[in-house]
Amino acid sequence: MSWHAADAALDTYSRGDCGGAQAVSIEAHLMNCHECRCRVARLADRPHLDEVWRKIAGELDAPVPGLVERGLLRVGVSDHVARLLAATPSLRLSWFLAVGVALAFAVAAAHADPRGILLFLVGAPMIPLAGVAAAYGPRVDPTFEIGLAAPMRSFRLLLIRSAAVLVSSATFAAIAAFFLPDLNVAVVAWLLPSLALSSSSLALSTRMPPLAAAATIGVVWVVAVGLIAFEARDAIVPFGAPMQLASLVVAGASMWTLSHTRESFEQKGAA
Amino acid sequence: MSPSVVVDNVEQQFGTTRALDGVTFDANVGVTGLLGPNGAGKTTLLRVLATVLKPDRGRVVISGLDATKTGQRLEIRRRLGYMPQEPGFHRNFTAFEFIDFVAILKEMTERQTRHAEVMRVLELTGLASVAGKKIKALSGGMRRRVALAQSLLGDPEILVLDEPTAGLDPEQRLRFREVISSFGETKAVLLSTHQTEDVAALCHHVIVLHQGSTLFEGTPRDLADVAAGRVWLSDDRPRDVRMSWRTAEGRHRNVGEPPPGADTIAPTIEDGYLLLLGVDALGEAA
Repeated sequence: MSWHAADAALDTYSRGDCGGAQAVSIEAHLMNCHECRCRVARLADRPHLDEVWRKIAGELDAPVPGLVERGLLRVGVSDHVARLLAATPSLRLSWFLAVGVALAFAVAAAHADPRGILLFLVGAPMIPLAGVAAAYGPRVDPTFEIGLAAPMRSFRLLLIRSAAVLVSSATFAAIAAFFLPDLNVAVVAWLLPSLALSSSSLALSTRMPPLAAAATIGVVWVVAVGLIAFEARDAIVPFGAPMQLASLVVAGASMWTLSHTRESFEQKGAA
Repeated sequence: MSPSVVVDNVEQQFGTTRALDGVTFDANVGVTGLLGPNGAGKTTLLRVLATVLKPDRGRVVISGLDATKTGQRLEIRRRLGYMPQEPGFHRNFTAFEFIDFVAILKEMTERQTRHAEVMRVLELTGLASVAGKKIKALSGGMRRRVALAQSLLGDPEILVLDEPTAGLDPEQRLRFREVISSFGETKAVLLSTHQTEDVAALCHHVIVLHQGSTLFEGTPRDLADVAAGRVWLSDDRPRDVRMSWRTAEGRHRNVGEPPPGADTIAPTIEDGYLLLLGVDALGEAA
């Protein structure tokens, strides 16, 4: 190499202040000029350079994420949220398989007997409810204790996971609904109750452990629908307009409660 | 300079059991060891310090922040690393993924900086070579190192370690001591242990807990001095002695009230601990 870059140009380059075209030109020269590479190395901000190398090493050593995480990244979920979700018990392959089997059973029951539709309509909202209960808490999350001592708010983690579980479970139930014998109101009648059950369970989680909250809501739901269906001697009647309206009110009230009691949820974690 | 950790008259009740009964002490830069038999309240105290438990009564101040106040508790968590007694893992995660997960819980969301920090703590604990291995494929000792590594994320000011050396083989225990002692040079480390050797090797400050109360606070030397003049060697096993065992040299090493003219020897931390706790210490001090 017969020529060398000017001191001023290398100085500007090492500070990261030179424009794109000049930077490309200097880099092309540096590839072939040992002397200029040495001059740049002397000018470089050492701590910054070390930090860059550390980041490169961290990226190279990071293992390839698992199946669920890769899927989440592909649909645009940010990498840190994807990792939080990948650790959710109710977002694992085994959970999805269990949900699939339960829904297939409910659909089969609806085909076997006209009253079997009740099993589907009672069960479908309970899938997201169970998923939300299994998303976070001392009994289901092995890292619960470590999480409590970390600065990320428990309530935020619960909401992120619950939203993901709610969406995935509802998607499964929606797909199953299209396999019901009659494509009538039953196809969507479980949706609002799903939202009501999950949100009321979350609201109750500010007062008691998430599993206990979900169990309480689940029992109340089964008994209430069972009683109405028994009185009406019909599987669809319990899911009529009054139930849909009540679900909407319960969901709204639960969300309002959640937004006003989230601080007590944080305190409960350290109680 | 104000102490890094102030524990003032802390009480904690679980049902009818009083787990902590007016515990009071200060801790500064260096390693503070909590020693005591099972059920003494060590884990409860460390959970209070890690802000996992809110005490029923009393005050806990960490780096000048009140751990009993919600807003300040979050700030404490940003400055604190915690290794629970029985850390849980997502076993399908690799060591890297698990520590990365905890880093996210510690509010490190920028991917490249987070990954670099994960690699730093993995290297610090000698786990870089198994970063890509699933947790379920790691040995018990390796998993404890993973648990220690996550507690070091973000270079915390205070490190709370609940029985970090439990279940480790001698070599692993030495590695742990190396990491913990180097951390204790510039930070406040609080650890609980059953191992009096750990206290002798690591701690500049010892607190002996018994039935939720502070039985002793001082240096390891002070703890050994509790047994000064009360440890002696004899050819036969004496009667009315707190504890006596035959040594490799064939003589009996006795702890208790020596007879006149006894061949007294320098006590160890273990001797002091035995005398402090009496029969409750049996089977606990290693």
